[in-house]
Amino acid sequence: MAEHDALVHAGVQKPLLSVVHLRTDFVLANSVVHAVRDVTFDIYPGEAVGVVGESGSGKSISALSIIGLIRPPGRIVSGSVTFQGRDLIHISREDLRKIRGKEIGFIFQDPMTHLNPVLTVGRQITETVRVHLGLTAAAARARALELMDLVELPHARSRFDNYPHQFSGGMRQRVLIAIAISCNPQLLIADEPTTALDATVQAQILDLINRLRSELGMAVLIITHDMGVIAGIANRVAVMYAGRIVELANVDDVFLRPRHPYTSALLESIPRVDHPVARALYTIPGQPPDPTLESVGCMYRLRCKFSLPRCEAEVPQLDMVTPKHEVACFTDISLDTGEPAPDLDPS
Amino acid sequence: MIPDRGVTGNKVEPLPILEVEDLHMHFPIRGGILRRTVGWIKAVDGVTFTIQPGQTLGLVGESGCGKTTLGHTILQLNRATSGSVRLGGTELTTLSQPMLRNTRRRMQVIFQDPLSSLHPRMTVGEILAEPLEIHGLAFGLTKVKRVHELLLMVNLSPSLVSRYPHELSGGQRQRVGVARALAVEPTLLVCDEAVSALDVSIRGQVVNLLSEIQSRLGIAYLFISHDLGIVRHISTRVAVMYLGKIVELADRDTLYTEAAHPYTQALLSAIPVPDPRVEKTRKRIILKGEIPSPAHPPTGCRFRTRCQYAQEICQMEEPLIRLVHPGHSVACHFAEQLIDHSGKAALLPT
Repeated sequence: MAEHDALVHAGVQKPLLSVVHLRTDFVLANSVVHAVRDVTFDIYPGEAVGVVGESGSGKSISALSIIGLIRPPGRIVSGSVTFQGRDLIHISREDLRKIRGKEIGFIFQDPMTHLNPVLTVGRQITETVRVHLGLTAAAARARALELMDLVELPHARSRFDNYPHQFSGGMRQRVLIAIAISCNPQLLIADEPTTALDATVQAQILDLINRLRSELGMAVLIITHDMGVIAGIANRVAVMYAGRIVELANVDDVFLRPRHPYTSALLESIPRVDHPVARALYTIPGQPPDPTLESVGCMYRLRCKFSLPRCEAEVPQLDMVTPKHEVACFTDISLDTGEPAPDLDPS
Repeated sequence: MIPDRGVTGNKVEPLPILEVEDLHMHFPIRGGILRRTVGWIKAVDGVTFTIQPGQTLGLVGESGCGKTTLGHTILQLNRATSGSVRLGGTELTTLSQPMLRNTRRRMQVIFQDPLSSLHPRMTVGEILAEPLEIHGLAFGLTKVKRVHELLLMVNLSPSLVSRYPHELSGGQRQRVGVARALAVEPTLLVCDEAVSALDVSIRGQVVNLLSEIQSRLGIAYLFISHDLGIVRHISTRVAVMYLGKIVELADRDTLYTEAAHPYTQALLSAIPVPDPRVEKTRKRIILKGEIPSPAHPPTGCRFRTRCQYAQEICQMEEPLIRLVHPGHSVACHFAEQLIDHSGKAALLPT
């Protein structure tokens, strides 16, 4: 990882994916849902970036926007998505289809709704490699069996002609992963890949994603609401709140030295099995803001114990507090003395 | 065979509020054109435990292990195949329907999804008044007063009485669910994945509310969840279920630090910890495969197909749940040897 950081810093390594000021709205009959308000981040080759946030924070919509899967009434209002130098927002559908599934693989929370129930699993894996790589039927079958072994689907040969309903939840997720990595993508987007799975199966799938990432050298964008999952899999973490990234840093910095009040409150809210039992769970007062509201100031300010007059007037932008740690907040909570910090810049 | 009665050591505890003894709930599998019974799903297959007044028993296990069915069978939403459920000394499994209706006042349930368990066309006020009317507890002005009181008890503003469920946030809806359950003054509350659908920042509020209510009113909870972090926070004792059976039952701290059953150990080691240092250094027990079908459970020990310690005896002989220490029962032939390989090593940074 240190080597990787050095390369990035020297500017030797270019980002694989750049998302800049992305904004996605859903226009409904009498309101507009601002699902993604402003999202900017990079993913470098081979790294695992975690996006964490609560429901409605815009994490999934950001991912769908990246791969052009936003359908009306949703639309990307502004911003850019660049993948290996190619603009993914203004690209033709045909060209996007060639990238999606080939250079960018993706897996979703519920494998059953993303597999075709009337096609065999083998057929669905071979379809991808036949379309994208132009393999013959025989070569595609061989590749599919190889992939089924790679994702540890037992008895690949005999299960090749089974249908999705004959597989358990964990096995279906493995099938989806096999399809996603079938063309050796440079980027795998995983949207809540383990949320529907049991704890022991979740551990298996995370283990598999970790192993595949190092074996195939692909980058992974993993989206989840579970801070624990992120801690085990990501190199860098983006914390989202109300459509914006509020903190973006290396995994250790986010978890051990959080600088945004929301990140720190979120971490404190999780009962940790490796800590003594607290009398009461830490809670964040209030609830997430209405996504149809226009952003005025910091969206977290009403729940924030550090909020300043300035937070109401101005939207805090992601700012570097150290070379690898970006935070969108006017207060430096690392100086927290228990009292709200004085307003340093009342202007 | 009853490892779990009211006596631990010399101390005599009060009578349990809930006693479940050798409870079975089997569902027939029908097949063929005559819809004959061709097999049985043994969703709950011989479960025994007790809950003391004002205490919480956490019930954990993976999907399909029978934890929800167990909750439903205790509530008499399913009629048990065999075994007994006693609430405050009254046997429920043999009660007639009208008698049962009276008893239902004393046990209530809150579900995972508050939106689908609240009537969409009833206002919050109507939802809370309905149980009061059905059980004849309050009418007229007293009813209105009681509804206000209930809303305040769950930290909701009484101004919400005229709102509909869809106008509320997820956390508010779940509070209404809690208030509705409390309306009839139960002694036992079954919480079936009650906070699982809520976001982290909201979940804590509801969990704290449940703890508060328990210490104020002395209600016992059966807290069913797959989230071992929350269960540890809220429970007095914890039972681990696998394929219809309780495989381990112990005091909260014992279970989380001295787990003896290999399944409990694996479950504990699979809890993601929000700390990259812990995640990098801890040893995780990755179980092979997935939970087998409850229609065809493995012979002998049901966990043996996924157990790293399985021996020949595990295939031949079913391990019965037995006391290995006061207050700690385990269903494993090798519990004594395994207790040293405890969850402590997997969880706590050394």
